[in-house]
Amino acid sequence: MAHALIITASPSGGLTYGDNDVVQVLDGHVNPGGAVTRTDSGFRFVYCSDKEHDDPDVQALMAPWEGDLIDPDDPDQGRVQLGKRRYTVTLADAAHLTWVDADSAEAAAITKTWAEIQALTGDKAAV
Amino acid sequence: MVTVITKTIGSGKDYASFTLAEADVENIGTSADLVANDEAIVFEADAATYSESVTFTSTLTTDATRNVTYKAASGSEHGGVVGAGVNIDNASSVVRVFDDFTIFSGLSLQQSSGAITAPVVFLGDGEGTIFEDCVLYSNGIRGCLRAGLGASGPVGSASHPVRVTNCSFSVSETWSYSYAIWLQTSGYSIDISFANCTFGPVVGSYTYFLASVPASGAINLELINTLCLADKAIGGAGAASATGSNNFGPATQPFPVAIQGSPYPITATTDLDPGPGDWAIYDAATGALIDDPDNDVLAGGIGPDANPDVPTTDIVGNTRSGATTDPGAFEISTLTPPAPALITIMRQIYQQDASFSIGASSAGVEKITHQLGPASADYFTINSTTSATVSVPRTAHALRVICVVASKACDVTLDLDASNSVYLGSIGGVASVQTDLTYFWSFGQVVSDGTYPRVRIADDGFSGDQLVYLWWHLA
Repeated sequence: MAHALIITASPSGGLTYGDNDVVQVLDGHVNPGGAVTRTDSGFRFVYCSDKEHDDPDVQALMAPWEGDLIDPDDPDQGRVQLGKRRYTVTLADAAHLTWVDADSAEAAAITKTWAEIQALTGDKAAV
Repeated sequence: MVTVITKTIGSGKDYASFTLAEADVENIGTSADLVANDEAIVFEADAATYSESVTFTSTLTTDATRNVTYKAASGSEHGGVVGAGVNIDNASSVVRVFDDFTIFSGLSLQQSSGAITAPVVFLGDGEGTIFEDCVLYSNGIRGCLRAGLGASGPVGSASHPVRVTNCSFSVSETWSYSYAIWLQTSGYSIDISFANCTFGPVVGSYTYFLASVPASGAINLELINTLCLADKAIGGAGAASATGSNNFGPATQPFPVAIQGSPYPITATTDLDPGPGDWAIYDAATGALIDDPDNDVLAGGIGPDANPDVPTTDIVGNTRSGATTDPGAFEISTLTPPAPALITIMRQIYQQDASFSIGASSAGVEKITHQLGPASADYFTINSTTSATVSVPRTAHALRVICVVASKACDVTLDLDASNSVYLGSIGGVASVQTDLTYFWSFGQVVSDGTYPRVRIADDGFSGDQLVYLWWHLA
């Protein structure tokens, strides 16, 4: 049974996010919206079969990309985020271009385990 | 003529979240150059709580009229209450803005959980950003709005400053150096204007409204018609150079003399009978000013006829006009709101009830916001020594009472508070129906404390029990 719905940015999909960035994680039962689920939208979709959307591991995929901006005047206030997402999940299979509801996700081959998703995850901070 | 492209945010709409809407914003117009296309994009969001943190940065080309707006859809307004309407609530910054000319309208932006180390709104770049009619609340130590610190470019410009109008800011942090708004340059300038903003009703102990710290770059700060309900108004080395007028606040860390309103200082209170002094009397729930003869700041602001930067409506849509206005985000309405409608089907029920029957049904009656009766166990029973009362929601500003009483007349009174009552009239008679007792009051005039305002129905000198079936309409 699918749980969390991970939505990423297609390469050259025209979104304001970087290629393969994790845009948002939603409850798998939430329809992300008519403009998002259009087949020609710039979004890609994968359901995580063994994590809920509010699991800290899954939520961490939406961590901001903080770059190297430590405020010189007030270092105790931490970094200021400029980029949008630190993590990418590369969904190369064309099946991920099409959103289906959670009950149909497995048949549509857009369901993966957390371990499988981790293997597709990139960390900009590690580059 | 600018072509406006409207998209929707909410459950079952174009986008389920602000994050998804912002992500797709470059795909909505003919191209990402909204100026060349003469297009504007408006996102209308449904009332709901959106738990997300959104960074607004894109490659869109925009200007003051061809840009992107995020607003509450009609019927999804917050009514001046934090957490109501379109409420974006997140444990980190709710909104980070780097795009030019982005407009945020009628939203509730808050961090309701504690121990948060990011501001609710961060402005890191971009000119012409507008926040209008928003309610902001911070339960953390970084306040409601920060600009400049760690920015990637100028925040606002001389020709297109960031404009914050009709917004209320609340902070519950009690750390002694907390600020609702922190402006600090770090290599880029800040141009920002605040018009008719309220700091409150929630203000942590020792908390300032605003700090202006020109560390490395100029801060051009304008403050117009500010109402500060805290015991400190402004700090930082840039405070003295703020421009503007008609700002009301405390004696400690006051607004600069040149931009103060009169009288100054004022003391903020929710006491409707505060005694001698210069008072700003406000509603504890929203910070809205109360229409009270002891309220010394009413009409103390400069009006839109004298300063075009003053918005012509307030945070809840009340009209501002003329050379003077009320300071802060809320205007005391001088207009009579429309009466609650006696719609056709309601009239039919009323006419049926003209002969009075305990079994009269309200089935099918629409637009009734509160009802007692006609079910057998759902009525007031009052007698010569007992009156019945029902509290009225504070957001109401007009009341229309329709009653059915068993046999004797009753008096209907609207209690605005413990010492102010309005007699609406007598209802009923012998086996009869009386109706159409209507009363209007201004938004913010009525202070809700859980007991007031209330409708009170009392006997008219009869003996024996009286059954009262009551419908009322609120607008």
